[in-house]
Amino acid sequence: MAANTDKDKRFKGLEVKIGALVAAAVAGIIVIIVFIGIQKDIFTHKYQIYFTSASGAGFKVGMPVELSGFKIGRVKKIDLTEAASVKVTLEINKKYEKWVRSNSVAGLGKEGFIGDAFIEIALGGDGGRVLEDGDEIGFVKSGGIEALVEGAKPILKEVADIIHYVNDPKGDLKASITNIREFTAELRQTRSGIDRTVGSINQLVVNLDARATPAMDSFVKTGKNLQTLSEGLAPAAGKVDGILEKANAAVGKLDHAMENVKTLSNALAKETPRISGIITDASAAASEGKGLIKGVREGWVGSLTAPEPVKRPELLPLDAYPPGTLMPDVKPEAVK
Amino acid sequence: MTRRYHISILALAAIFLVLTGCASVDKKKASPIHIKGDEMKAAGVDAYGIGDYAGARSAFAEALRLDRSVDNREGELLDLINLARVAVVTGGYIEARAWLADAVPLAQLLKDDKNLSEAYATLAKADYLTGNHDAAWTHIEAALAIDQRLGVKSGGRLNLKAAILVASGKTAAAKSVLVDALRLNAGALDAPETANSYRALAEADIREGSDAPALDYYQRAYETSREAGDNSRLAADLVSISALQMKIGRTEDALFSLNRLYAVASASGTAREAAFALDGLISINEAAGNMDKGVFYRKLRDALSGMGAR
Repeated sequence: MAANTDKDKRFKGLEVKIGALVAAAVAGIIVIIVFIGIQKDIFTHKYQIYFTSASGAGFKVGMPVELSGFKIGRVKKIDLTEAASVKVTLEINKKYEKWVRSNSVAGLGKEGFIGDAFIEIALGGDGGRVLEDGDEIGFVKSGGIEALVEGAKPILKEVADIIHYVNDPKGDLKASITNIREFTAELRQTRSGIDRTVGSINQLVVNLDARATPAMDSFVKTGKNLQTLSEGLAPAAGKVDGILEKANAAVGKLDHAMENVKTLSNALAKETPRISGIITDASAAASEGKGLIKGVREGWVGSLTAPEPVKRPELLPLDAYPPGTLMPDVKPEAVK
Repeated sequence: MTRRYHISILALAAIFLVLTGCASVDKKKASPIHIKGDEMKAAGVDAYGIGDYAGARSAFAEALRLDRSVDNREGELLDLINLARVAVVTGGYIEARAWLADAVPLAQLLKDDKNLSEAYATLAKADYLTGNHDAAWTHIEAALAIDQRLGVKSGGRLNLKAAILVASGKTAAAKSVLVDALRLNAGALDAPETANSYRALAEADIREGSDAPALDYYQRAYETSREAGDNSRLAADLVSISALQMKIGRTEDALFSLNRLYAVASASGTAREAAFALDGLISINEAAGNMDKGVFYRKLRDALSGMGAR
């Protein structure tokens, strides 16, 4: 068998051929690695700076860092510090370092309201020194639903204060309601007193002399008038009671509603980081989806299946009869 | 490792390469300047559509500048033709010829026969409107020959050819051409060109001294334009209609047409046509002894003259 191998021409220089094949494969792999490396900026000189944020919500490793809308780096890592704040380390391409200065500030930006999140670095002025590897850059929190919730917090606090003021037993409103209630009770007692007095007067009148009857009649009339008056007052007192009861019920309902608002706002504030995360994920998914759709559309499958866009006319019609050109040589005077 | 195996592998590899190659073909993306140029073209077409010829000219000039800056020759050709067409409509025939002097060699260079035909047709129009009928004939024939080679039939081109024939006094030949033009335009539901066919037929009849058929064709042109909502020619058609009605003694109809013309011309701000209407109304009313109406229309006419209308 070995003898056959030696004699067969196909095995001549086999080692060299295999060596060349392996060398070509290795060279190809190296070229691909180098190419990908260039694409991904692996061979670009970089340096790291960081900033500290109270919350890590919205940040993600790999997130782009932009300056004037231009990508200059990415988020390298996110760590929790001893003080429970979040340290975000940015990796910046060295060639852009001249624009990242000590008076530059970083912020969390979004493309549109719920677009892709990125770290935006505001250009530093000439006065600041160029930041070096390991330096800290200022951070300004901004944008997104977090900002909305933050903006809404003072309003919610004011609403809570109003509820507290309304509910305060020693507060002006509650005291006024109590006073009205007491006044109504006293009014009822007064009416009973008047009723009793009128009854006594009637009894007295029966026992009086007939001569005194006319005078007493007029007195009785006066009493009746007083009774009418008190009867008239009775429904009014009842109405005041009803109004007060309704006011109490309304205050109770308002109290309950505001409790719900408080609960909702607390829950929203708690869930904000999660909402932000969900939005970031959804945004990333949408971005990937967009990329996929774009790829399919621009690929050969898409180009075969997608309908051609409706083209607008590019050339003016040659309907160049200028108005009046065809006006005949007939003059109105012809009828004269 | 048979020969068939090698061929199969080779074929599969070839198919794979073709498919991946097709997939990776990056469609030539239009640059922002290309896109801007296209937008300016569209803006020019829109401006032309609403009668803003100055705006259209400005937009096409900007499109031309942009297209030239990125060497977009196809776009440049369209811009040149469009600029020439705007110039033709506004009476700038020398300017139109200058644009077309650039457009024709460019179309030939690009081997763009379709737009070469458009350029020749535009030249024919400019020549026709300046009374240069021989040159107009040469250019429209060149355009139609290209169209024939491309298998394209255009009723608009035939209308132009017929108009040139009418202007040259060859009314019988013009009518023959217009029969085809009318068929093509009506078939294509092209109302503006259908109306133009009727107008050219009317012109041919007037040349032949047949006023009544001419009146009928103008009325058809007017109705076609009115139904299609093409208001740009209504006043001109009403001028022709009322003039012919007066000429053949249909005074009542002429009064109606002149009143309508005055309303249309006043609404569209065309003083020349409004003055024509008032002259007609004065003439008819005074001839009929309606001096009060005559005085009324004369006052209007004087006021219009005071505004510069002749």
